Amino acid sequence: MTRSRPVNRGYWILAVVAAFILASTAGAYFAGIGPFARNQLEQARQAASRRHTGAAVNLYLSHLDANPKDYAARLELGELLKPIDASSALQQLQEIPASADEYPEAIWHIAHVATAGKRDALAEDALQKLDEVRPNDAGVALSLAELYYRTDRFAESLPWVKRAAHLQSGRAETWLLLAEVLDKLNRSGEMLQPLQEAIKLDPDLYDAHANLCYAFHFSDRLDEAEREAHWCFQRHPDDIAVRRWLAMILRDRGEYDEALEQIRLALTSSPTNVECRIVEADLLLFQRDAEEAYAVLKPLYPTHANRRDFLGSLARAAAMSGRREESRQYLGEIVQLIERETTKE
Amino acid sequence: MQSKFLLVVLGVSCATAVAAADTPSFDDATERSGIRFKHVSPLTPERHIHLVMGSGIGWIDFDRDDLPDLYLAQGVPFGQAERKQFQARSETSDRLYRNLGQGRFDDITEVAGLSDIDYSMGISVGDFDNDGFQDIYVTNFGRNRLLQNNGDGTFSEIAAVAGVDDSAYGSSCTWVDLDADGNLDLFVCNYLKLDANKYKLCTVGYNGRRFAISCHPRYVPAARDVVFHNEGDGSFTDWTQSAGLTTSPAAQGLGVIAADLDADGDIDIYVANDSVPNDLWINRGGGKFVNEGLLSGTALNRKGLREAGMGVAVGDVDGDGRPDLFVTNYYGETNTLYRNEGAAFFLDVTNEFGLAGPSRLRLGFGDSLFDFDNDGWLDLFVANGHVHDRQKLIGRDELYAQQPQLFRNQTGRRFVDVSKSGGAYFQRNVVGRSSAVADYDRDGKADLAVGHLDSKFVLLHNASQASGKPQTNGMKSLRIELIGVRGNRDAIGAVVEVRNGKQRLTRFRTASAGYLSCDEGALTIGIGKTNAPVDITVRWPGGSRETFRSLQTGQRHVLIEGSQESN
Repeated sequence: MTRSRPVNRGYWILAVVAAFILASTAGAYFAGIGPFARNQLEQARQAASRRHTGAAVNLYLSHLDANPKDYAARLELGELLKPIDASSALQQLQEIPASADEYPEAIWHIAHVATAGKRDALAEDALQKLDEVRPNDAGVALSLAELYYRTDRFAESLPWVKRAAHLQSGRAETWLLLAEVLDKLNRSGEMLQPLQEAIKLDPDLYDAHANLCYAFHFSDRLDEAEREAHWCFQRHPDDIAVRRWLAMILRDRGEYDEALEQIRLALTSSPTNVECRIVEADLLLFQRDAEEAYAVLKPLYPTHANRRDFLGSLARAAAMSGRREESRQYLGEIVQLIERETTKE
Repeated sequence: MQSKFLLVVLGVSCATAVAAADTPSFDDATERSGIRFKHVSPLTPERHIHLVMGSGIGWIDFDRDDLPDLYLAQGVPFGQAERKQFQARSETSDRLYRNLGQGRFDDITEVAGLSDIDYSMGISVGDFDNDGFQDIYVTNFGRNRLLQNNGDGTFSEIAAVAGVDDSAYGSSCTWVDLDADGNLDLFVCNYLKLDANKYKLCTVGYNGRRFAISCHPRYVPAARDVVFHNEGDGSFTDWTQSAGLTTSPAAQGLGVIAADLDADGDIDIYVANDSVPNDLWINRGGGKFVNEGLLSGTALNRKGLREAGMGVAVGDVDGDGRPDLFVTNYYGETNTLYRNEGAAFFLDVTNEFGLAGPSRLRLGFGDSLFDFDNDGWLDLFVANGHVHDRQKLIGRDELYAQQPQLFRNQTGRRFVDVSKSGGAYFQRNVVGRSSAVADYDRDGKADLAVGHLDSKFVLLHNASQASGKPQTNGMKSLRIELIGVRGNRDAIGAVVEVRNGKQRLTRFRTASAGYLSCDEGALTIGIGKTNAPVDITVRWPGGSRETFRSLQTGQRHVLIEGSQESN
């Protein structure tokens, strides 16, 4: 129901990577690696710095053949391979054992690579391990929260995003994510506080205002919801989702004609927006204009037959316009969707 | 069993007073009424689910003195030791309070021979043996009971003899003449399959700990609703299968009303189910029913979602003569108003009527559609309260005790929350469950009885008045008592239409109300400011229509089937 805005993913990971490179370079220099090896390692580093990546990789590999426990070098190789060969990078990084000093950084890279490659199980595993060694790292908590959110595991996301917000309360986007997770968990009534927190930190955070419009509406604070809608329109007058919410606010306040006007305004720029059409059709049905409601919904049936809200609205329009058998068909389809969902549960 | 007690009284003037109501206000009359009832349902550490569901309220004029008496269902602690300790105390058992007049009640439970040591749930009041004295059916977490009114101030428990001692976990129930044979049948909602010895328990994890919570009904098998046909000789037979009144799988029924929802002359049944689609049983005649919940639009909400139905109220909220349905639902859902569009089709108009937002952050149970200000439009009361008392502990911002709500109907277009001016009761948080309506003090205004989980019963006296001056806005009411002759004597299922100038008021005589409860049988019908006599048409159970002409406002009228020229 809410608007998702990608949270600045990777921000934390990149910061740690940069820190790591500095540290590992210095570490390798002072480590007790033999002269020949150090020479080969130096060459690998020089090649890497000159962006002769292929040569650098070969030099690193040669070095590691001779010095398999040089985990600093292995980490450098993994980092070097990340943008060009994620699988090989992971292979190198996963060679670094938990006992090595480089382990936390290695897991960071693994999480980064796994996240970028949508290898969620691997990323989750890496982040969970990292949380064990860095329990107060807001970045870890946030990354896990985002991972669970992205993979629709909202209940698992919630404790992590709460922890991230606790550990670093000054980041507006984290509060926004918390609000969105709560909404996904059907706890929309609890969205207000995190959204207000986000706006306090970043008064111009658009998505927080848009979501606040939604949350105020949900909580029956219609005047405040309308105020947020107008705040949004000052910046993005064509925001269809907010326009739809304004129509719903007006409808719930009993201003049916104004609601219809707003929803039709939204539909002028997006005539096939199914959520807007449902609001429009329901307003028409309320005023017992079933034929028109049916006419605005029916063309969308081929593309939205998998939506219960759409089918429900279309079934009502069909029934009220005298198409009882057609209505029965749509209701049957809703039952099938319910049965499918029940099976999943 | 057809020894009907015929009153040939029409137009009995009792000078029912006139109510006024610009400002709704209900005062807590419990203390002065003499009713000292505290519901007993202490939660266990394991949070057994039946202990959070509450118990019902039934208004009954058991002694036929035209003053509604009050039957209150009682809970009981769970566990042998707790139970024994409780039963040793005076508040054991359901209670019957006799209305003494002047707003006073007297506890006559023992004198009436009533006692029930089970956890009582739903109540329906109806004269099943047509002897002129109202009887009571009580569902239990345990065997249900049929309390036959002996007509001398006492009752006899005859459920087993009559064959209605169903032992499933009963919730709401209603008397209803399903086959129009003049005898009241019985529809009993059953909720869950719970075995006291193998009780399903649930926990939820939070912050590395586990907390016991009452189980979501989805995780407990449902018990089937049952229907008993009244054979007219004091016995009942199970009609559930033969009438087609079964769902597959069984549904978790909590609320029920019976009324002619498709206006075809026979009685249909609507059941609010918890977390699964609701049922609308359309009467096809001949004792056969078909579930048209989905097709009628009443199984799901406007989004096509199943809701957790609790209570259900029926009434004509928009003045078109058709019975609309209002269902209370779970926290985070809206309560749902289904507007009857005719031809057995209903439209979810919750948002348009202003009832969505006010209900999302509450968990509704009892609901009563009644005209508190006598303006002719049905207003609404909702009893709220969560089923989980540990929400804070598991990181959820959901109140256990919640504010009750009062809504005023604005000429059939919309409801407005007027709880703030409803009186002190509406300003505090309570764990509300059941509610039932009666004009117990015969002042012409409908009052409210409200039951709360494991806490005190509250009697709310309707003290609505205009700007602090009683009876200044001239709103009047009629009190109508119906007596069936060909149909059941209580005329349960009858439809009353009051013609008041251009306004047509339609009211439905039912034997169940909201959640687990039952309103007074006599109908208090607000008719606005008119002084002119009104015509009333009664559609009796069985389908015959009869018009009673020129009835004076501000009075009680006893309308007897067949005493006027039929039309």
